[in-house]
This record gives sequence, C-alpha cells and structure tokens, in this order.
Amino acid sequence: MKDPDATFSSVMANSVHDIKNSLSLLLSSLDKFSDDWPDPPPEKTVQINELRYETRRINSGLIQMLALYKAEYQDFTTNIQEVDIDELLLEMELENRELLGQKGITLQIENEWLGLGFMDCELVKSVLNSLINNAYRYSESELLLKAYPDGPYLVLAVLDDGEGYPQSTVDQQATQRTGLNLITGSTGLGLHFAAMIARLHHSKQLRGHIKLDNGGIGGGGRFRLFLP
Amino acid sequence: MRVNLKGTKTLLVDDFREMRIAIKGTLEALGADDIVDVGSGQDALDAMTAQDFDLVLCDYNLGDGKDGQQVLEEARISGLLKQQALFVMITAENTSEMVMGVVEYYPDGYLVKPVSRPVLELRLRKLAQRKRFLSPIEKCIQLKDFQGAAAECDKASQTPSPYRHEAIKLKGAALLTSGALDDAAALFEEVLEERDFPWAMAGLGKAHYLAGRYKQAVEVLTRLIDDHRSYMEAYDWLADARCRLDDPARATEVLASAGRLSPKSIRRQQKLGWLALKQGDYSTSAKAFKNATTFGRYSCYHKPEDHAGLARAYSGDGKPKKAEETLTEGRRRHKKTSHNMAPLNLAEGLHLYAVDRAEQARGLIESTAKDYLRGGGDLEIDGASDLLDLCLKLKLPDAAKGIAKRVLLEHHEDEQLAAQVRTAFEKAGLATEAESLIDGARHKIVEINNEGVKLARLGRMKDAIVHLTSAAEDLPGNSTINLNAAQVLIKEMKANGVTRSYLLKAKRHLAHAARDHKAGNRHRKLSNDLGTLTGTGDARKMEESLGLQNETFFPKSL
Repeated sequence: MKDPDATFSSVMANSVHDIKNSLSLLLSSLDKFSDDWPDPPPEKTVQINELRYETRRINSGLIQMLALYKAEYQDFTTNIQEVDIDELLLEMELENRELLGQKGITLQIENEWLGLGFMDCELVKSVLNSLINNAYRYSESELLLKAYPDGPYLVLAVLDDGEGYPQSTVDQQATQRTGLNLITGSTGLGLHFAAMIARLHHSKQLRGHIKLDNGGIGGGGRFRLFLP
Repeated sequence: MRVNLKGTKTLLVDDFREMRIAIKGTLEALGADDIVDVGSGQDALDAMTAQDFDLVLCDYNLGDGKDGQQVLEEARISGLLKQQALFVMITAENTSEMVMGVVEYYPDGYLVKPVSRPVLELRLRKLAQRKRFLSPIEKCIQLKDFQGAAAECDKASQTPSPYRHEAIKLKGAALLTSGALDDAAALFEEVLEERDFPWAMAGLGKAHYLAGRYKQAVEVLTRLIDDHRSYMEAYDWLADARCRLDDPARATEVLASAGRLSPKSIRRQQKLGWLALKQGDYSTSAKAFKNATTFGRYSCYHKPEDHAGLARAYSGDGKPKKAEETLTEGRRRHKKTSHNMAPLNLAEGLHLYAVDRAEQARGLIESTAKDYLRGGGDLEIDGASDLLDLCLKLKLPDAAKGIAKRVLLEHHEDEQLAAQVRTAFEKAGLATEAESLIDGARHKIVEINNEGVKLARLGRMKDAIVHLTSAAEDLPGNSTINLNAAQVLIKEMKANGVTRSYLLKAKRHLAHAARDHKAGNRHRKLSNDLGTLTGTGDARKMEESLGLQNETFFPKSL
C-alpha cells in the first residue's frame, strides 16, 4: 500500500459516484426516449444503440481503472459470494442482446454448470461485459457465452466468430503476470484487468486464471475465465 | 414471468433529484404506482416511521448525513422494516467495501449503478424469490423458535435451489443462538468438506468460542482471515477470543487491522478505542475514536462515550488542548440527542486531575457522582469503576462508597470488579470498607434469591414473581436476578398459560441479562424455553403482535 494521498482517493471516489450517476441518467434518458418513440427510423435506432454502447464502454473503463488504481495504491478486496450462474448468464444476455442484435450478432448463452458459482459477481460481470463489448467490434454474426465445469474449475467462456486474437496477444498471455506494459491498447487493459480479477479468486489452494486462444467459432477468439 | 410492481409500496432514497426521477421512471415502467421518494437518510427513516414499505431502494452514498448502511441499521433496530420487506442498496462502486463496513445488518441485495431496466427487473424478481424461499426460516428465527427454524432449514436445504447453502448457513446460526454448539460445529465442519465457505469457517470459529474453546477459535479464525482478508466478522470474534485468552495486546492488533480495512464501521472502532485505551495504547485509541466520531456522526450507534474516549486518549497521550476541544465538541454535539453527560464529565474529571487541577475536578466529579447515584447519569461498568476510583483520589469517600455499593450489587459475581474496588479503596487507606461493601453486596443478592426460591417452593408463585421482578427492576445490571425473574415468569406461564404482561416482563429481564456475557448459557436456555412457549397458537400471535426487534448477536465481551 502506497496510497499517495487520502484526499485524492476520496476525491476520486466522489468523482466515480458522479460519473456513475451521469451514466445512469444517460441510460434512463435513452430508455425513456425509446418508450416515447417506439418505432424510430432504422438509422436512429442505430444511433441510439451506438449511444448505449458507448455508455457501457465508459462504464467498463471506469470500473477497470478504479480497480487497477486500488490494486496499485490501496487494499483491493473482493466480495466473493455464491452466485446463481443461470441468473448471471441471463443478466449478461439481457444487457447485451439488443445491442448485439442491432449489429446482426446473435448472443447465445449455454449453461452446463449445475448449482452455484463462487465469485465477486460485479467484477466478473465487468470482465465479461468488457469482452462482449470487444466482440461487438470484432464478431461477424455469432457470439457464445458459456458456463461449464472443467476439473475443479467453473469456466466462463466467451467465444466469437471473428478473425481471432492476433498471435502476438495469444503468445503474450504467458507473461501477463509481469505487468501492464507487455500488453498495450484497450484490449490489453481489459485482459490485464481480467487476469487480475481471476487471480483474486481462490479456494483450497486453487487460483483463478484466464486463457486466451483462437478456439472460438470457426477459429474465432476464445476467452476463458477459470474460477476455482 | 415479468415483475409487476403494481400496488407495491416502494420507498426510493437518493440525494440526487434527477437520479430519483430516473429510477422512478424505471420502476414505473415495471408497473410501480405507489412510490415515495426522498432525498436524505433522515427523510427515509421518517417515511418508514409514517408507513410500512414492501420495497426500499436506497442509495449508499447520500451526501451529508446518514449513509445507506446507517439508514438500514437504524430501520432494523427501530423495527421500521417488516420482515418480508426487501431492502436493496444501490451503489456506484464495487460492493466489497460496503460489505466490509457491515457489522450486523445486511441488505437483501445490492444493485450497482448504472442500473438498466431489464437488469433491475431480473434482480427484483430473484430477490423476491429468495426472500420467499427463506422467509419461513427468518420468521422462526425472529420469534426465537430455533427448533422450528432448524426444521425449516432442513426442509429448505433438501430442495434443489440456488439458496440451499443459505438455508444451511441460517440453520448453523440458529443452532449457535440456541446453544446447540456441538451440532452447529458438526454442521459447519460438514459443509467445509465441500468447500472453504468463509461463513462456515466463521461459524465453526464462533461455535468453538461459545463453547469456551478459545484456542481452537483463534486457530480457525486466523486461518479464515488469512484466506479471506475482507471477511470482517472474523476479526470481531478473533479479537474477543484473544481477550479471553488474556492477550488484549493482540486483540487490539486484530481490531486495528480490521479498522484499517473498514474505517467506517463505528462499532468496531468503538470496541478498538476502549480496548486500546485500557492498555494505555493512546495513539491507537485516539485514532479509533476519531474515526467513530467522524464516520459515526449520523449513526444511531454514536454515543457521548465516543467523545469521552477520544478525550481520554488525547489526555493520556499528553495532548491536553485536543482533549479539551474534544470535550467541548462532545457536549455540543450530544446536547440535543442524549442527556447522558456522565461519560463526558468523567473524562473531563480525569483530565483535570491529570493536569493538576484537582479542585476543579472535585466539584465536577462530586456532582457527577451524585447524579449517577440518583440514576441520572449512565455509565458502563468500567466507567463506574473509573468514577469511584477518581472519587477516592479526590477525597470523596462517601460518593465512592455509594458507587461501589451500586456496581457491586449489579455485578456481585464479577471478581475482576471486586479486585478493582479492593485496590482503589486500599490505596485510599480504606481496605476494610471495601471488604464490607463486597460482602454486603453478595449477602444482599443471596438474600433476595433465597427469598424468591422460598416463596416459589411454598407455591406462592405470584409473590415470588413480585419479589424477584421488583428486585430485578432495581438492579437491571444484575444478570442473576434478572434471569431468576425471567425463570419464575416462564415457569408460571408454562403452568397457567401465557399472558401479555408476563411475556413482556420475561423479555425485558432476558434483555437486561443479555448484556452480561457470563449469562450466556443460561440466557440461551431460558430464551429457548420462552421461544418454545410462544412458538405456537395464540401465544405466537401475541408474540408477533408485540412487534419484535431482532436481538443483536454481536459479541459483547470486551
């Protein structure tokens, strides 16, 4: 812990609160807009969804930045709880389906995990959301979100049918522990965050981790989050 | 299945008006037609006092004034929330920090901003499902019908459901509260085979602690903290266990690290403040009380004692000016809400004595002692013992004797207190006085009890009840007498049926006795007896109509 300045932290916490309020207002205005204007011309729908998409990207970025800041300067703690996996997947679907559908991408969810998972639900959701946000850019027409058991782990996988991750990103994941500098760009921040969140999950000597390859749909990208 | 909030009495709390309008819009889209929205924690509590709500959506960060957690605590303590009501906390940040600040009362769920409409709908539906599933168990627990609760838990944990573990967790808690410690330990050990559930480790630690196996408790709880650093409840129990093992220094360390992780938990800070003060660790104590007075400003747990403690820590730390400022601030802040200035007067007296202004101290302490003996000022046992010690130092022997008599009657079995009284009087050259005070108190208590037993044996139950309950009213701090009073009341109700007035009295005496941790086992047994007595039929209805409050299960031993 090397928090430079407690005042700075509290200013930051307040700013986050304000920004989150603004995002909430933005989203609810968009909802209201859609209520009042149920059948807009197609190009307007595209624009509204574009706004929703950007709102969510800001939100993901904010969560990640804050988490990384805390991990660096403060005590970063998780709130690991029992999570209904069906509910988690359903929530992801509800939040993303419309937006993806807009771009002609269908989001499928599959749950082969029976019972409860154990995780910090908000953090894991923001990892998945940020991956889905990326997929929005890179997927062709299909996206699959899947939960299944693998040995002692619960795996949450995001598979797309795009061109796959660049080989350099796949190769670099072996060294992801060493820090942020190795992976650059926005995907990099997302992956760094995902790896950090994964590592914060542990039980009975098992630690969470991520794997990245091109085993997605038709050689598309595949991201797997392993949670003990 | 869609959520329809039509007819659901909903309270919406957010300090930001636009935000309220936005969430209200979302709720209305889900059919809500009965929404009250307010902008502050105090307004929320006022609204809850005026009417019952089915659903409360409360932002955690409410600007100046009470925060969401403080609203929840006060609402639960004052019985403003119906058992089946849902309280959902809305937050901008990750939930872990908020969860860490909780000592006792958790909301039914959390929502993280920004909340989209479909997610709100899904969440509310799931929360309502969960509440319905757990409701029969919670109801039994609230009525202290622990056997019933355990049976409901068994029923619930056999159905495949995402809340199965929660039912097991509640069963463990019910077993602990009812004193079935071995069963509780066995249950927790069984679930731990499955996975290192932090709640099960904490439960096992509590079972060890309550059974007096402090070393094992320390072992389990330390392991729990190593694995789950943010599981705050473990720190509270670990500190208690360390105290029982006569290691207050390490107990202080435990609470200090908990305090660093969750500075906003006022009760944890208070506990740390007093523990550190007792050991002369003034800087730790001052830091803790400072947090309690800052973060606790709007909390219903905030008391004049917090400023008294802070002033005493500053005074001990050689910071007289800060001590005096704190006392002034304490009097100013608590003038309206609490009439109990005794702790602040005591702190001021101690401070004046320490800076060689004994004459001034003498006047203040003399009137404080007089007030205390008239029943005007309230002090915890440690405070009373400090007050009598100071009276002796200031050459006020009669006041000291009066205080000694009262505290000794209230805590006639407390050896540590007797030793403190003895030392204080010996130093003042009044050793023989101390012995006669201590013996006198013990005799008096034995006499009261014997008379009660005699009357009961003679079959004069009504007389025994009058005798013991009036003695218990005079000595609310004496757990033995209060438990005896509760016992005759329960016996009478077993034989001749439950009456409202006896039920209320029995509860009152049990509540008095609950403040003494040594009363633990007998208190649990009598509470169980009372729970069984009121668990069914008309008695249950009467019990429900009394508007029960949750009894706290926070370790009180420090």
